[in-house]
Amino acid sequence: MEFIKIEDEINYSKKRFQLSREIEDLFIEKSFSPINPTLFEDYESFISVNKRVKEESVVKFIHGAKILVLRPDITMNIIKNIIPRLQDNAKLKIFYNATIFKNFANLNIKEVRQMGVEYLGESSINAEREVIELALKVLKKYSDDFILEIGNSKYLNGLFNELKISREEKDKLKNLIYKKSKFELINYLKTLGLPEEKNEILINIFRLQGSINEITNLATNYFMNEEMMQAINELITINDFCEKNGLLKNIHFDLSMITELDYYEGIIFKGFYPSSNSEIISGGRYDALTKIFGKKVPAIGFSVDLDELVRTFYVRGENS
Amino acid sequence: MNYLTIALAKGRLGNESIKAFQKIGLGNSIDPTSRKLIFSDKENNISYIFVKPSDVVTYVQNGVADLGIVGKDILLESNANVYEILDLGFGKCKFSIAGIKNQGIYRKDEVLKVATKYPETTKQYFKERQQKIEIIKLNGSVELAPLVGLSDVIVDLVETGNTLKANGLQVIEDMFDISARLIVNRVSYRFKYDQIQNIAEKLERSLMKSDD
Repeated sequence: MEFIKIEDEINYSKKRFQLSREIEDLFIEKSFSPINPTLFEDYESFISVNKRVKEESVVKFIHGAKILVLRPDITMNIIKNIIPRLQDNAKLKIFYNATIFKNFANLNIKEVRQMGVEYLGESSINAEREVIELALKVLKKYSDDFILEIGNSKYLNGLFNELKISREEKDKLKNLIYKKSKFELINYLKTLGLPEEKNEILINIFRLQGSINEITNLATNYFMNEEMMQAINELITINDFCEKNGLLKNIHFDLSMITELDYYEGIIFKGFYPSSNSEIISGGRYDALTKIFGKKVPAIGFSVDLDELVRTFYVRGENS
Repeated sequence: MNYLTIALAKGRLGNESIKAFQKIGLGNSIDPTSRKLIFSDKENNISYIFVKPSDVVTYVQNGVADLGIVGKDILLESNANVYEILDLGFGKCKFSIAGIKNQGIYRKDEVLKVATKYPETTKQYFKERQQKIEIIKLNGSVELAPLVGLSDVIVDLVETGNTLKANGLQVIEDMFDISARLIVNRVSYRFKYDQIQNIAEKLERSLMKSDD
């Protein structure tokens, strides 16, 4: 945000400070500890892990004979530093509140504020419960009018594992599902010639959303393997504790959810306010990511787009 | 019930869109002969806004409009983060590569010069096919480029092919089928799901009927 009047800028900054402190308090209340991610990372090792990240989108500089980058992502940064040192069966609840750096065309460097939590070492659904309850708490603090959309990547992955399709074909399917482009998906499926019982699920994938009852009723009509069954059972558990918290009206389950990042496996979620044009919260389980750094550790977390949250709730002239 | 805002393109695509809405009993509040840009339908809680075709995506992506109708050509070029929930079947044409007869496209060690109004779509298409190209961005009369030696080929929308033929060019390769799409803002899709789904289903059913 850019301001002409200094008063506006200070009020905005005050609002951001207030929101970020309130959210930190919520994190601390649930026994998450603060951690300071390192500002610099080694360019070579960053790029080797993040093959999908575009080289020109990170801010690089030369230090001696080494190329370094300003941290382009926090989860990755934390995981890389913690996982190799984490003792077996140790559980860790941490949070961060920091800036990441992105490079746009013409050397235009942008700072983006990120806050978030990571829960490492807990594989049971209790981790999902704690993290989702915390996400709901953050959203509810600023308005009762919000939606947390919850999906489970195990459902589609469980289905994809049954199919004899190439990596490219799988990515193409995922892209069409991400765009909710039903007609293009149907046309593409015609060219793949998948077995009918599996085709049927993909054609109807956009109907597999809504309340847990709507989803389970529909999904039982279709093909199901163990992993897909597990995906639905996890959603049922989440539904039960959301119901106990009286927040079911804010939950929308969606088995067609696809995330921009590939490393999520399991529960995924996104939180929205109607007055904002992008997700304020996004997160999920990402055990697979930790494996890259030496050992597989259960991990789940979410990040809060603080800048977008401030933009949504900042009122010009408000004296907070 | 929530208020829905629908962005439509001014011009031919917009007129087709109005017809599609009228078939499902909506859009009667729109007067196509008027110069007004906003029409509100209080009965159904919908307002329609008329914008330049290439701006429909911008309005929907930024959430000013919940829904929009736009050509796939514009979606390909803008790479927008919106949902494309329905193919409306009208506004049909093709994205094609055209040139003088017998013009080759794929060369191993030579850069192909391509004149077009659609640089992003062109770049992406040739990148996937690993053909190096040089793009010459034009704003109109693209057909002229190969004739005067500005480019080897052109990438453009082709409807009937008459303009190409009149200028001694022909289609060398079809790239994509283009038609009008119903697009939805990502956040609106979540909060106004039932209403949006209802309109999309009605439009889809009326399309299937007219297909028979």
